Amino acid sequence: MSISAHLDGLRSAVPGCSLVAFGDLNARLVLRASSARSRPQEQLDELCTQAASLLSNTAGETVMQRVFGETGEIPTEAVVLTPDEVRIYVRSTGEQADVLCCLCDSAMDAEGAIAAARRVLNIISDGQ
Amino acid sequence: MTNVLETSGGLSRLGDLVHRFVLVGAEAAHDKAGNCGGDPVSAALRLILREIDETVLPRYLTVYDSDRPLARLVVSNRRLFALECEGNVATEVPSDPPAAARVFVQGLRNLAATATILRIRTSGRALEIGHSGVSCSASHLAAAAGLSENGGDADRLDAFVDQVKPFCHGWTRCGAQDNRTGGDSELADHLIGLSETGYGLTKSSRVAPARPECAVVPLPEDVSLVVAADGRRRLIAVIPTETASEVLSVWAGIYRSDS
Repeated sequence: MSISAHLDGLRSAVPGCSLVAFGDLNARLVLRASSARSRPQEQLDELCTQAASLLSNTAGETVMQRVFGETGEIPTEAVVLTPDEVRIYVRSTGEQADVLCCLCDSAMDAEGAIAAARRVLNIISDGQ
Repeated sequence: MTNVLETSGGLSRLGDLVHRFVLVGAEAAHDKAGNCGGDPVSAALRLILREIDETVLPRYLTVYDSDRPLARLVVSNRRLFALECEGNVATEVPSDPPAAARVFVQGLRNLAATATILRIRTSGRALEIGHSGVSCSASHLAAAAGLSENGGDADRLDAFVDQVKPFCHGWTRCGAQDNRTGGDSELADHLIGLSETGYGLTKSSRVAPARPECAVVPLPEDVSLVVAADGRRRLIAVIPTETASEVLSVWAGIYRSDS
């Protein structure tokens, strides 16, 4: 099954989801996207940049070091509300810096969307 | 999106006077939204709150989209007791006043966003004043909606801060000249340092995000980071993860129309 097919499947499975993008946090690039309509590249780039800002090291330190002065793992998920959309970011837990970004219209089932995105990301990152 | 605001106080002479008086206010609200770059939904919401604030005796206020009724408000003594949307049972309101204000504000904001031509009319004396006994004053509702007394939305972030700081282990509201912190002081200092790295901002919006937004990032030890931005001002806070949904709900009540 191709990455695009996985992204299409995730977009269909999450209610109110209009976009799913798969990207690389180190390169800050969206590599594949599934969308109900065409999206400007700038919007995809902005999603990936925000994901990298939230889920990567800042100036060589993890958020845990910055906030609590102690070592800790990099966060692996984030939910961002805006006045008209909900962005869900899930990053891989291993060495890879893969990320899935989902654009939804409601935060009603953010936990379900995160769980579904996590399952799909694991499959993609494992190369299945 | 609301683009015309109108109210009517009824057919009596006094009602006509009130009508004219309120229309001036309505036009001012519309003018402010249209000409000063304000949010038209907030302007419409402000108009509804003004009607509540000017209603002393027990009254039903009906909110219309043009001639189509959208909802009925039960108001007395300048307080909102119930909100009954057309076709639905009355909105269930929690007994906790801050939570009740959030529920009312969400419902009123939905009305303000739904109506193309918003009208409010008094539709009779209210016979029953709510079932739960919970009520909210117009000023309390305005505070919960992040509406300032001077007609702007500039303090929506402060309204958010005021409502969520009881949840926070530590927080900083920065990006303005009057930076504020609260909770654990050492943690707040670290959060200021994190803010200075531009954490959570997209590169293109490092100066100021185009739209308000609120991020919640779960961390180990059952805590989460909250990063909320409104223009150049930001709140960065650490909260117990178990309160994250409530914090997002507060933000949605202030900034979203569909929450």
